[in-house]
Amino acid sequence: MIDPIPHALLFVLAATAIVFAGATFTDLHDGPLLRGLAKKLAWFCGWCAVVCALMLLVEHTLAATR
Amino acid sequence: MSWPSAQKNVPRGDPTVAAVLTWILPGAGHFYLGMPVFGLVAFLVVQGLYWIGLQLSHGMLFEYLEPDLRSAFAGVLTPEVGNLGGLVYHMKTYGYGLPFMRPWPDAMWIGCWMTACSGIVNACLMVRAHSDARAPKNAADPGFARIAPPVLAAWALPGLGHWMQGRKLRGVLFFVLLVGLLVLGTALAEGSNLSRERHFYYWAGQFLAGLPGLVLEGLFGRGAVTHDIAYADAGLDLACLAGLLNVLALMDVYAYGEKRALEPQPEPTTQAAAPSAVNAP
Repeated sequence: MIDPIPHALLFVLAATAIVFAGATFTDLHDGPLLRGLAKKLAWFCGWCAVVCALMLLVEHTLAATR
Repeated sequence: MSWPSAQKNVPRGDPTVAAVLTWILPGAGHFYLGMPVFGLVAFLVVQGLYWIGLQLSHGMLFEYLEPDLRSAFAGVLTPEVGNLGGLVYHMKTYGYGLPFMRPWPDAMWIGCWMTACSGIVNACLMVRAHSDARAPKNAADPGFARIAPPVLAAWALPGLGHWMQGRKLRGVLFFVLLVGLLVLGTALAEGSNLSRERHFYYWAGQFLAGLPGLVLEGLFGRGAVTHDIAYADAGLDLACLAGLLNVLALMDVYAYGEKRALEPQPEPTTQAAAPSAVNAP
């Protein structure tokens, strides 16, 4: 059984690092980088949720074994 | 120091040639650029690291790989690939070892560190050769010479390269996030993620996070796994992610250093004012 809350927390932590590392290339100054981080993180998590939902949908339809 | 305008824009050599030569044979790029002393020292340091590593590990590194992963290109995803000459020699001379099991040497893990470090240091030397090739001839202290050291520092300690460039907030954030991920991943996996024998390619990813990973491996990474570790996979993923994200940090440090070096510098009015005009943080 997967514990959803620890997994979600670990995902958010990894997502924060990914978004921050990516944002360093788009925001050259520290102020805009920090101000835009929450919004970028929300977008990242949102699109990951969309991909996750699509994968679950495919798994339960096309790849279902019973 | 001010040079006649005819000499200012004449580069020392072709950057691609210098970098590729360094990749194949450490120091060769600097010989090509007319910097033989630097090239010789670089050769001795980089190949010396690899040679000592081979002696300590008896060249058995690739015997860590499962038989189905052994191929001519198995070394491509290892840190050793940064020193292509060393890696090719290693593969040609030792390959996948003997067709029977034998015990690992006592200092195997240190030997593997040294060959891997040789690859990373040579990759930074390639950056240095690429930069030096574009620097104007006869320049005593070109801004290009200051690109490579922060890149090496950023590998050694995530965030340190940004700190050296004066971008201290980013440096601190990179350090907290990447070293935090590495430590958390190691804690979740109870150190099992840090064994190169157990996770050959994941180890390569974690190695990109630099010395914190090596310190953790020295402290926690060589114990036997005696029970089921619930979050072993998650920990392994997080620690590897830290190393892979540090590659982005290295690229950022390199790009920033290059941008600073290429910025047009004002004509120095006095001899003393010239060196610090471009490179001050």
